[in-house]
Amino acid sequence: MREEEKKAENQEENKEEAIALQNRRFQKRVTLVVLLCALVLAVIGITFAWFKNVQQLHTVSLIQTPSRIILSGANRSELQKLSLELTPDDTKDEDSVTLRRVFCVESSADYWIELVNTTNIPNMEMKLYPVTAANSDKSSGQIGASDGVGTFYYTPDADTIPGSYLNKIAGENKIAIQAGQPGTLHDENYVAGDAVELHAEPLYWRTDAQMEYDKANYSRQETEEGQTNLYYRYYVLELSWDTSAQETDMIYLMVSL
Amino acid sequence: MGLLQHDDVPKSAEEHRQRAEELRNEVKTLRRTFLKTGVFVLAALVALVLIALGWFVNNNKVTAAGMTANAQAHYAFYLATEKPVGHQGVFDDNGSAGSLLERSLIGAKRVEPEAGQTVTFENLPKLKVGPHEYEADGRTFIVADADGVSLMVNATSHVGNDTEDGFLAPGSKGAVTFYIIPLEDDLGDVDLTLSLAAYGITSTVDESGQNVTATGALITGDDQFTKLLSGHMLIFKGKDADGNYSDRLMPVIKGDGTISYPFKMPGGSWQADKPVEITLYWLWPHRFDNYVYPGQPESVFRSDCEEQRALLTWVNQNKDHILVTTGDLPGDASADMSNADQVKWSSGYNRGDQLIGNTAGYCVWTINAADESGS
Repeated sequence: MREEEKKAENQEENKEEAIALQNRRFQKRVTLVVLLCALVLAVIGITFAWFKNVQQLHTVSLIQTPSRIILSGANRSELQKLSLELTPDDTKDEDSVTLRRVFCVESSADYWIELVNTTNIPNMEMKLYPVTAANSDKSSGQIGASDGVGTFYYTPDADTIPGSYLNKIAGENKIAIQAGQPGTLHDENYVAGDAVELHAEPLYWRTDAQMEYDKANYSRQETEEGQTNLYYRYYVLELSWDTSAQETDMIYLMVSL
Repeated sequence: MGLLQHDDVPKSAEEHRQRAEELRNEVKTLRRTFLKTGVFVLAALVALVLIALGWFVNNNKVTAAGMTANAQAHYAFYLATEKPVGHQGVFDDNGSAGSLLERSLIGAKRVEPEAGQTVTFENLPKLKVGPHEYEADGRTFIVADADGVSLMVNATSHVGNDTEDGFLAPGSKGAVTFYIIPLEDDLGDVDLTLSLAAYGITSTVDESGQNVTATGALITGDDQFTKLLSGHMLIFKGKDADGNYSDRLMPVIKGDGTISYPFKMPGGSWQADKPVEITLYWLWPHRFDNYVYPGQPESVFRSDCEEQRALLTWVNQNKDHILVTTGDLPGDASADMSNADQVKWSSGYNRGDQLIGNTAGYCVWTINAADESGS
């Protein structure tokens, strides 16, 4: 009888332990579910709470790829100066000197070619020829030019590129319109009161139209500069003057978009 | 723990003591359990409160769609754009097929179809004109919402998009104007953010060769591009009558590739229903010397000033935000830098412009106001 009671007590204890274990497991599950629910609700709640306070205005702008333009020399070499020293290709007789120099324009847009010069040498002629034949960078041609390593030859067209002076006085004399006169560009370069000698006032010459950077039938080739297509084209600048002139002039060659 | 399930009564003092000990242990366990679960219940309660707030706002927004903006009474202020004189610029036809935006992208050669090819655009932004109007101070405004509405542009307030052929490029500049309409007095500081998100355009041609698909995609993960855009696009909060900018907004590059310019407006003296005009000034300097030398026609600053020196210091500390270099970095930029450094800075800046222009087709500007007052 005593053993039976003991057995019953043990059974009772085991039963209690089983119940307690089951309860603990159940509570763990509940805790886990509550935790997960709280996390999900917090995430959703915080998201909505963020939305509730925001006000926004939008607009859009296009971004344009900036155009590039490079003035370079024969064989698209880096160009810092155009030497005006006489070469065997230049012509010089008793009356006049004629120089012809090659330059290249690499561009991603249409551009102007501009020449600016002082006017000490009377009637100095400046002519600009395109090189339209597919003869870029050839080993033979009318005009040789060095890229610093080798010589390349170019043949200019017969016709010049049309252009005109922007500030030349009327008549034959190639002199800039002076300060205070209609058509002067004096104020672009000088401030009031500057005294400028007549022949030091520069003359501005510009092509009548923009050069089409990707025009067909020119001596063009496409180049890659990053992702920008640069087309390049050669020109010949011809300068001539009377040998009697013992003066010095400055000439600027410019290209602009 | 089953404490109340026990129905057996202790029969001796020893059993009493044992039972009491068991009870103490069970109470301890229960207390621990309660504390543990109680915290989670509290968290759930907080989450439920937030959910409830979110629901109210959402509901409010829906309600407001067919009514006046007064229904949005939970805001302490409205972010707004003025209606009567504005239009949407390149978004006037709202991104429909053959829209001005699409034509402009072709015009700007961002998409270059060949003769006979048709172009289909995908993923271009479509901005909506806000449905909520608000009358204040005798003027009509369009109120922003959480989804965002289109900022009206005109000849003086635009990001280069007020005309058909307008665009951002080196040398471009302008201003954007928008409004805060306080709904109560003395708002305190108002937090605002301008964000720039740049998009690239990629074109693919189908097998027939006749159909081009041009797709816009947010530029992400291009650290060099984003840094350059943040250094070439300058944003200021002020500009005086002489053209001197002030209070530059500092760029913060975000993980998704957007650039954020956070700033505050002091609303302490603002009055309810009195619109406050806010203008931000933007410019993309034409050349690098515009950063360095004040007083020139295209200079960022008209004269040497503290802002000028601060900008130059920032430039020197963030050279990769300005330059794309092909060799060594130049020395610090200053008015008396060497010719060699000047050439490096100038050419590096131009290469940066090229990289920005070649990478991005368009840029979405977002003005964002966080109303801390809650609903």
